[in-house]
This record gives sequence, C-alpha cells and structure tokens, in this order.
Amino acid sequence: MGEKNVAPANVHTEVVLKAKELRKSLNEKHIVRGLSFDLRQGDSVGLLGLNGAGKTTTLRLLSTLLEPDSGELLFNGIDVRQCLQLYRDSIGYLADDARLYNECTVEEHLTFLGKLRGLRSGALRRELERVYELCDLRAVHSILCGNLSRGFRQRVGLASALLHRPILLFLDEPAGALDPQQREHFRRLLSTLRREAVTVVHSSHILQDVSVCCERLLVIDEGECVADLRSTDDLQELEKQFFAAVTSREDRSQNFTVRVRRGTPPRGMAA
Amino acid sequence: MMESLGKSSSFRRTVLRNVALIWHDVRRLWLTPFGAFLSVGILLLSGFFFFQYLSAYNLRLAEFLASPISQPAKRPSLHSDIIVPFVEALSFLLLFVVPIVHQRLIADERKDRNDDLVVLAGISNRQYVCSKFVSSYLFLAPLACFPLLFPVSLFWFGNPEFLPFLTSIIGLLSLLALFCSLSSFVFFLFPVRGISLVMSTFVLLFLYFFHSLKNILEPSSFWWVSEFSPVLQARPLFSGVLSLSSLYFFIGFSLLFVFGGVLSFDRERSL
Amino acid sequence: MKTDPKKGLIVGALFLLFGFVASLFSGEIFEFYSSANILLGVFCVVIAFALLWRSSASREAVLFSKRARNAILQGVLFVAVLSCLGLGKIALERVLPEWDLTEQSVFELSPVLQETIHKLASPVEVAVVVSSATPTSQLEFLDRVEKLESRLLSLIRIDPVLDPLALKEFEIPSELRGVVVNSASRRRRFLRSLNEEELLNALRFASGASTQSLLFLTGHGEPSLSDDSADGLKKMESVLRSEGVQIVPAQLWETDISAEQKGVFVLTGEKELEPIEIERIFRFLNGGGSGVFFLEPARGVSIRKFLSKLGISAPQAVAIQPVETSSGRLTAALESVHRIADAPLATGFDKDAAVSFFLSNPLLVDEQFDSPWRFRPLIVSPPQAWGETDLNFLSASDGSVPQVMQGSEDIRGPFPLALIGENKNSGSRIVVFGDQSWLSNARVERLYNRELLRVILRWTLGKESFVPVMARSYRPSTLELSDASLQVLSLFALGFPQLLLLASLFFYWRRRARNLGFGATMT
Repeated sequence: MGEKNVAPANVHTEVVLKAKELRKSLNEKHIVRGLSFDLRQGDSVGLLGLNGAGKTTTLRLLSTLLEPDSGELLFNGIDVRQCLQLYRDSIGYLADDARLYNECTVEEHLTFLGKLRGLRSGALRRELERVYELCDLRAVHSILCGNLSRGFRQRVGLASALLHRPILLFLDEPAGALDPQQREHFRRLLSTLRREAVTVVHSSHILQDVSVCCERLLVIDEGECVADLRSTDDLQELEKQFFAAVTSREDRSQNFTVRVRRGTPPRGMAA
Repeated sequence: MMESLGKSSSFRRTVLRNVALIWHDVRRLWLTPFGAFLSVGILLLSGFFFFQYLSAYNLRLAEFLASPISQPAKRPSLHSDIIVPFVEALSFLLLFVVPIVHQRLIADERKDRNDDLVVLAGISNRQYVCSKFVSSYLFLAPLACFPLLFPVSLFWFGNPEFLPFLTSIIGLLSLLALFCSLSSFVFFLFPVRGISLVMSTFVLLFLYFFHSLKNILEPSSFWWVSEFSPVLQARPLFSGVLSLSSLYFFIGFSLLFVFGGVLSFDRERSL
Repeated sequence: MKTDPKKGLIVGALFLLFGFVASLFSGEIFEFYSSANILLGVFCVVIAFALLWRSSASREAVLFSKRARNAILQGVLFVAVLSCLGLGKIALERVLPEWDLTEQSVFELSPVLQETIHKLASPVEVAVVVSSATPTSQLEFLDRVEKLESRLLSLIRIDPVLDPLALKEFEIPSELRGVVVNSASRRRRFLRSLNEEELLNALRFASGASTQSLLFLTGHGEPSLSDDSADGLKKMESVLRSEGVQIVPAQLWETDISAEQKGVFVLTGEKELEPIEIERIFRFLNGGGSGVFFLEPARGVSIRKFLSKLGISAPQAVAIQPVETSSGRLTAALESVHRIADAPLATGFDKDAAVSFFLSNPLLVDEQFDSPWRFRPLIVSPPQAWGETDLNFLSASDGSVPQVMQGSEDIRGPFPLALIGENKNSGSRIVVFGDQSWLSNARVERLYNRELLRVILRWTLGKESFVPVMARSYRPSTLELSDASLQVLSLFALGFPQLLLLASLFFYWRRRARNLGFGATMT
C-alpha cells in the first residue's frame, strides 16, 4: 500500500500528454464526451469508473486505436496526428483481454512484436530477457500462448507493452485476472516503472485496485471526467468521494429519462 | 532511446517491420495443420482432375491413331488437353481457398483484435493491407504450385511443351494475385467475419463466371465483358500465349483492389 | 420511433442495384421489375435525404454526413481509378504485344499463303500423297490449309497403297509429293515436299502468269547448266526452272538480245567478253532489261571491264575472313559465311539465315561515277576481313592462306561482296556478285544459298511478291506412360498429400505436447 507514495526517480513537471475535449461516438452513441486532462512524466493515474463509463474507449483513444470525433490529443505539445509514428513508438498499451497469437509460443509472440518495433537481434534478446524478468515469464517462454491461463496471458500482454521501453503506458483493467500473489507482483512492477519515470494510466472499476497503485484518480462517468482525486490510504474516504462525484453528476444531468430521449444509452451498456 | 535499443534506420526499419509481419503471417498459417489441410485438399482434388484429363487424353490419342489417313482426327496435345484444363480446374479450386485463408489471416486477427498490436507497433494502415495481401499470396502461391508437380511429372514420361507450361504457371499466379487482392478488399470492406467470408466467395465466384454474362445478355452490347473477365484474360496465358495485355489486366486490377483495401481499412482506422 | 436516414439510404441503394442489374436483361417482365426497383430506390433515397436535411442540426446527422461524404469520396476515387484502368486496358489491347509460345503456332499458316489461297482467281486442285509415314507436321499443315475453307481450293489426300489409281490420274511421279493443278488452264506444278513455301510457289505458279525467259550467256567457257559434277550448274538450273524461268542459252556476238528476254545471266568464263557483247548488254539494260552478273577471282579472265562501265571497280583481290576454330584460335579462311537477314532483299528470312561464299572478289562502287545506276550493297564482308591482293598463294603448292593483312595494297574490310543496282531512267535492275562458285552443284545447297538465288532471281525479274517461307520445325508432344508408370504416378498423387498431412500433424502434435505438459500447470 505504501508503494504508491514512492516518488519516481526523475520526475519532471512537463505535461507529456494533454487530452483536450476528446469526444467519441460509437454506433451513434456518445461514449466519451468532452474529456480533458493532463498527464505529466512519471504520473501514475488511475481511471476509475463504473462499467460502461467509457474507460476502455478513453484508453483506446489515448493509444490511437480510435480516432476522436473531435478534440485534441497533444504529445509534448504536438498533435499526435503530426507525430503518429513517434507517439506509437513511445506508448505501450495493454487491453483488458490481452491480445496474443495463440498458435505462437510466448517467445515467438514477443520476438515478432519486437521485430515489428524495429528491434535488432542483439537488442531484441536483451529486451526479451528484461521483460521475462519484469513480468516473471521465464518459466513459460516456450509455452503456446493459447495454452496459458488468463493471468499469464495478461502478463505476456504486459510484456508486449513494455518490450520497447515506452514512456507512456496505458493499462486497461490489468489486474482483473490476476490472483492475489500476482497482484502483489504487479504492484511491485508498477512501482519499478514509476521509478523509471514511465507515465502509467491504469483503468479499473475496482477502487482498491487503482488506489494502491496510483497517486491520482480520474473518475470517469458517462464519458466525462467528473472528479480528479488524490489517492490516499483511506479507502473509505476515497469511496465516499467517488460516489459523491458520480451521484452529483446524476443530479446534474437532470435525470435518466432525458438521456434516453436524446438517444444515449443507460449506463453499463456501452463501451 | 531508439538508438540505445539498437533500432535501424527509417527505411530499412520499415522494410524489416513489413518483412517480419509477412513472415509471421505465413509462418502462423503453417504452424497449425491449417496449411497442410488446405494443401492436402487441393492436392487430392487436383490429382483427381489430373487423372481425369489424362484418361481423356489417352482416349483422344486412341481416336487419333485409329482415324483414317485421308480423314485424320486432330492429334491431341499434352499441353492443350491436359495442362490447360488442369490449370483451369486448379484456378477454380483456389477460388474457394483464397477466402478461407483470408478468413484466417484477416478476419480472425481482427476478431481477436490482434491487428491492434500490429498497428500500435508502428505498421501503417497501408503497410498492413499490403502485408496481408503479400502474405496471403506468399502462402497461396506454393499451395497453387504443389499440384503442378502432376504436370511436371509429364516431362518425365513425355515431352510436353515447356514454354507454354511456363506461361500457364504465370497465368495461374496472375489469377491468384487478382483473387487475393479482391478477396482481401472484400474482407477489409466487411469487418464482420461470416459476412466477409460469404461475400468474398460470392464475389470471386461472380468474377469467375463473369464472362457467362455475355451468353445471357445481348452479346453485341456487352463486348466489354470479355475485356474484364479474369478467366478470359487468363486463358491466353494458360494456353501458352504470353500476352502483355493480360498481364496488365492482372497486375493493374490486383493493385486496384489492394488500393481499395487500403481505403476501406483507412476509413475504419483513420487518425 | 426514431427515424434513421442511413437505413433509408441502404435500402434505396439496394433497390437501385437490383433495378440496374434487372435492366441488363431483356424482356418485358425485367423492364417492369427494373423500373419498379429504380422508382422505389429513388423514393427511398429522396426520403432519406429529406430526413437527413430535417435533422441536419443534430450531431448524429452531422457525424453521419461527414462519414458518408468520406465514404462517397473514397467510392468515387475507387471507381475513377477502376475506370482509368479499364479504359487503359481497352486502349492498350491492340498496342501491347503477345507471343504465342505453343508448338501449335508453328502451324499458323504464313499470312502470304493465307492471302494467296483466299485470293485465288480460278479453281485449283491440290493432290498430295500421304501415307502412314507422313510426318505429323505435314499432316497438321494440310489440316490448316483445309481449315481455310477456300471455295476455289480443293485438297485431295491420296494414299498410294489404298488408291494407286489416283496417283495415275494426277500423274504424280513416285519421287514427288503432290501436284497443284489449275482446273481452268490445266497449268500444273509438282510438289517436291509438303511445306508452305513449296505449296505457295506452286499455287502462284499454277494460278499465275506465263513463264519468263532468261538469257544465259554462253560461248566463253562458262560452267555448263547440264553438268552434274561438283563445279557444274545442274542444280542451279533446276532452281531456275522451279521458279518458272525459261533459260535460253545464247551467244551475243552473233545476235542481239531479243525483246522476249526478261533478263541476262552472265557468268565469268575463260574468255573476255567481246566489246560487241558488252555494248549489246548495255543497250539491253538501258532499255529496261535486267541482269545478274557473277565475278570469279579464281579465273584468269573476268567481266571487270563490263563492270567498270557501270561504276563498279573490282580490284584483283580475294576476300579473306578470320574465323574462330573450335579450339578458340583465329584462323583465316577463304570461305566466308554471311548473315543476310538484314540484307535489302532477304528481310523475310530467319534471323539466323546465312549464305556461304568461296573466294569472293571485293566490289567497290565509285560514288563519283556519272551514271544512271544506283547501287546498294547486298552482302558486306565483316569488318575484320580484308581483300588480299597478292594472289600468288592461290597457285602455290602448299596452298596456305595468309593469316593477317600484310600488303599496303590490300583492301581493309568491310567491303561489299554483292551489289544490287537500279537504273533510275529505265528501272532496270541488276545484281552483281563477287563470287560465282556458290552457284555450283557443290555449293548451291549450302546454308541459304539456294534461297538467295531465288530471291535475287525474283527481284531482277520484277517478282517481289514472292516471299520465301522458311520451314519451321515441329516437335509433336508425346507421352509414353506405361501401366507401371501410371501406378507410380497414382501412388504419388495419393502418397504425397498423405505424407504432407502426417508430417504436419506430427510437427503440430510435437509442438503442442511440448507445451501441454507445462501449460497444464499454467491453466
């Protein structure tokens, strides 16, 4: 628990990534509406929200897998469209269900991704060793990805995201499939990354998951950032703040029926 | 950071990335028995066709030898009586195989969202579509060439014409390129797995029998049908006429459909 | 209910598509079906756009219209590229070449033969002798001729064993292969072999004009036309006859050249030409007659005096050509081989066609000479050849040929060995050769010598329409598949896929088993 307060080694105060009024509709449903926030180098941010709040879509927008309908995403002050290749080389993304080539072994999968990232053989071997160590994958490196348990798949996914030493890491519900021991290992891993000044955005609908790993919590509801909380050890207090933020939004939006009339979905259905 | 990771220069890196992607795709298809099942199916069916044409040739040879000198029958030719119909039958078989391969290569990958991994690793939309076309072609070309061992065996037992046999192979590979590009275009146009498989097979079948429209419709008004029928364009190549106009048709239209695939994929993933 | 313009557009597009497809078919029912679909389609599209217009203020509509616009733009771009490709294909169809690589193409009859058959003015019967020994290529050739379906040409195949009477009827000698008979004029020409050139010439002969007469100058010790020894000209005579040329031997110091003669054929004999002869030949040439002249450096006398009056100087020299021996060494040779495919009269020949000369005399044209004759080289020596002026080696006992150009008088190559000339006033044509030994029985059948003779004869007599058709080789495809071989092949057809499948399964299971043992603990 105390790990979240460990300060990163080279914390800079510059804004690495700035999201300005991001909006996204899928199938004519507004999933993200006017999301804005800043990420500084070494930040460890938790995206907290109920199911369907738009966390996954937000992370997909941040990782350039989706194009926003409007709004801007600035990487070091430059629109990511202008520096797409550089941006993609600088980020790592772990989806909620880790995407793996099931017919390949862990090593083949990671080697392939390393080659796609342009790593040459010597460097690739070094990075493989590093991520095996970080994600504790040495014992399973020759196993077919299709044969792995969900926890291990998640770890291989994380290794894929870390292979090219990204400076921004987007993790979508990374601890969902992990057992307590693996969660602890995961927490240690995140603190290591923070020491290396990697900015981590970590989404979850479980308050406890994000509160122990992150120092800042962005509460997302219906695609909007309704609160920017400072993480504390007091879980009950955090929970209170979270529900207060969500409930106040419920009130602000002048009840549920109005949204239905406008064709927006009830919470929990989208994303 | 790129240099420290031992990454290559821009152009070389792009080439190596694409080569890695193509190699990975082709290898993936052979890692499971999928590739073997397909090639065995093609080999068995084409073997069946080959022996049918061989029997027909023997019958025609017997007719020729028995015909009176003053009214001689046409002497059967190994090329026009065995190799040409065999290659035509093989091209028809490939028509059904191409969508199956694309189902595996494109639709399954998109369903598992593994394309996210590739796109995030710095492969552009254009490179992704082109790589899928090339890898499907590189997988299918040997598959199409395996059954050519049957006509090759004729060179052991007889003396078929060599140059026309080469043009037949060129025709088959050209037709296959068109099939691959058109099928990949349909797969990128319709992201839903089942629909893309059915549509792709349907479109290829339609294209294969496109020239029969001329028989149904008014022939004088639909003279252009033969200009755009892949089968009619491949026929000179199959029969031993190296026609630059046919090669223009196949290369041009293959590139067109790859371009169409890029447009479709771009529309979905544009950033 | 929330209305969705997108769905309206999709349904409308479907109606329009089916309407368009139905319009391709003819018939009343299709017309009705097509019209109904197009009407419905237009209706749906109009309604959809109306809805879109009405709700254009809403965000969905803006977003949708943006996407739709992009999609339409991309569609238009795609169709534009497709159209360009299609138009390019149609435009390039006739420009881009194609090469028929099949053996069958060998039997596509040459255009000149097809044209001759299609333009026959009178009925012609072609009787050919075929038997089981007749090569397939010749049978195929006859098939092609028959497939031209000319009303005026009837092809009769005669089997000498089954129908010996037919042979008698057409009076075909046993050593010949057939006959072409003009049914109207009864003009006939025998076929020595069954090939395109033979048939073409026979058809042209049988259906063409009367024979032309050629004066063969004698009285100077010229080689004899009836001599069948190696130095004789019997074979050449038969070539001339086969071209429909009537040869009239004559001496010109007694009588002038008659008006019936189309040309003169002058060889180098053992005596010089008399001035009166030279004068008569000149008069003949200036009056529109043609001639073929041959110089022979090995003989003591020559027709140099005559040639000098035409502006051609023929120095006393012999062309020597360095050739590479089989061991790769260069050696000089008196026999020279020349490619003639690019020569003015021989453009119809194969690209490798060549003629062989022996002891040729270089021929030099004096460009300053004031004369109505204009000459062009027909055959030119290679650049490394030279004209050896010291001819003592010809009479030397050892007969060794000089290996390099030594004397300053020698003529440096390349130089013409044969010339063709035309008189710009009278239109007369002459051909001059620096060698006449290539006409001898021993040499006239070497390489393309005979074809060259035919060509120059035709040209000088004004029969350029003659096109030599080279014999093309044919290799019929055969298959010798015994029962045992067939079984091996069948086994391969079954065994190879099985082997592939087993190997693949083995590889897959091995790979999976290696992982399963471990994976089980993981899952």
